[in-house]
Amino acid sequence: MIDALIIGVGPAGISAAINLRKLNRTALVIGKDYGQLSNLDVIDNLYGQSPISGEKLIAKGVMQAKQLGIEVKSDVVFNIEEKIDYFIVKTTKSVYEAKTILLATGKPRVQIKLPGYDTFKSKGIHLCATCDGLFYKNKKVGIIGSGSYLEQEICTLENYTQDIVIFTNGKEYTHSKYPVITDELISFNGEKRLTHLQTNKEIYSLNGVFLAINYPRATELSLKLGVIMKNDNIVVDDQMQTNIPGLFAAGDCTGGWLQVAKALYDGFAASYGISNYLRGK
Amino acid sequence: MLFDLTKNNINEFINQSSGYVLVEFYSPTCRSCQSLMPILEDISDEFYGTLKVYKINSENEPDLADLYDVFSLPTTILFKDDVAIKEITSLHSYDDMIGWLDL
Repeated sequence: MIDALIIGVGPAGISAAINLRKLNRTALVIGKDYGQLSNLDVIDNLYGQSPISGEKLIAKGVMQAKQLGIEVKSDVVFNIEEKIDYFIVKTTKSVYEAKTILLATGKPRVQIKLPGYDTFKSKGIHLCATCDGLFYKNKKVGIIGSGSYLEQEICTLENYTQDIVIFTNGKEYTHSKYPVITDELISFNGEKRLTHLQTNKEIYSLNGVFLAINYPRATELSLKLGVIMKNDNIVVDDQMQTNIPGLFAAGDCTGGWLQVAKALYDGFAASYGISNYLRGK
Repeated sequence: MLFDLTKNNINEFINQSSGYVLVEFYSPTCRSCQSLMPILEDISDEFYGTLKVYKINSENEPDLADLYDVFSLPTTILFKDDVAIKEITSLHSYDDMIGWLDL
């Protein structure tokens, strides 16, 4: 079993992996892309580093980790399950078991900012089927998304209702069991709570809508695991551990300065936090 | 361990209760609900004598969830003298819950 599975290939994740290697712990790093940093043009405030593009800096970090023998995989995590003493991580390509997890996924961004989202969030719009699915027993629900993450959320929802409509918001997608609407989404409508979802062609009457867009962000993974958050940032202690033993977080997803230097420190602190945790077991 | 309210005993513990009562709506599959429970147990200890804290399993008590307009878990409602005075959804830290309670 891997000592630490790190989600995110940015400075926090790679910094943690490199330091874990030095502490003689095994780490696997999984990242979907280069995240926010690749969008920045130039980083010109990093010690010992002449101005460099975010994308190049990350590529350098990944290369450095690989040269140390650390496995870095391009994959997408869509579920983390907490077991007694370890975690099961499902990705689009594989399933892993790890003693600890480090969330270093960067700053989560709202995936669907349609009119009505803020009004009906938790009042008909839901991010977690295992939390809120039970309110829709035999009721009509919509689910927005496509792919593996959507299929996983549908498996949970099916425990409560079979009356499911999939909305892909423009993406081509087919499902063997439920109707798929590919029209562009316009708004969430309702009064006290959500009652309708409007596309550019039609208005659909629904009791609730679940979101499973692209892949779960740190916010959604945290929600499903029961991680304490504050203003969409994951709350960690000085060892970078969350309220769930063995689950750590570092970098932008924990809030504070959105800076490479801070992410590097977080990764470093998390590597010691993880090592201390593993030693204590 | 917080005591579970049901539609059979809710009268006794909320409706006929004076002072502050805090109730968490949860479900056994909701991990955020489980993370909130030890926080509410600490709050129960901290405010012993001032505040009573209970939980309601929304899976078993859909009528109570309906009655209090609970659509999302966890939802925590504060009652004073049998009247629901405010509610907070999702999981928050101990400090944030204390701030929200404002007792």
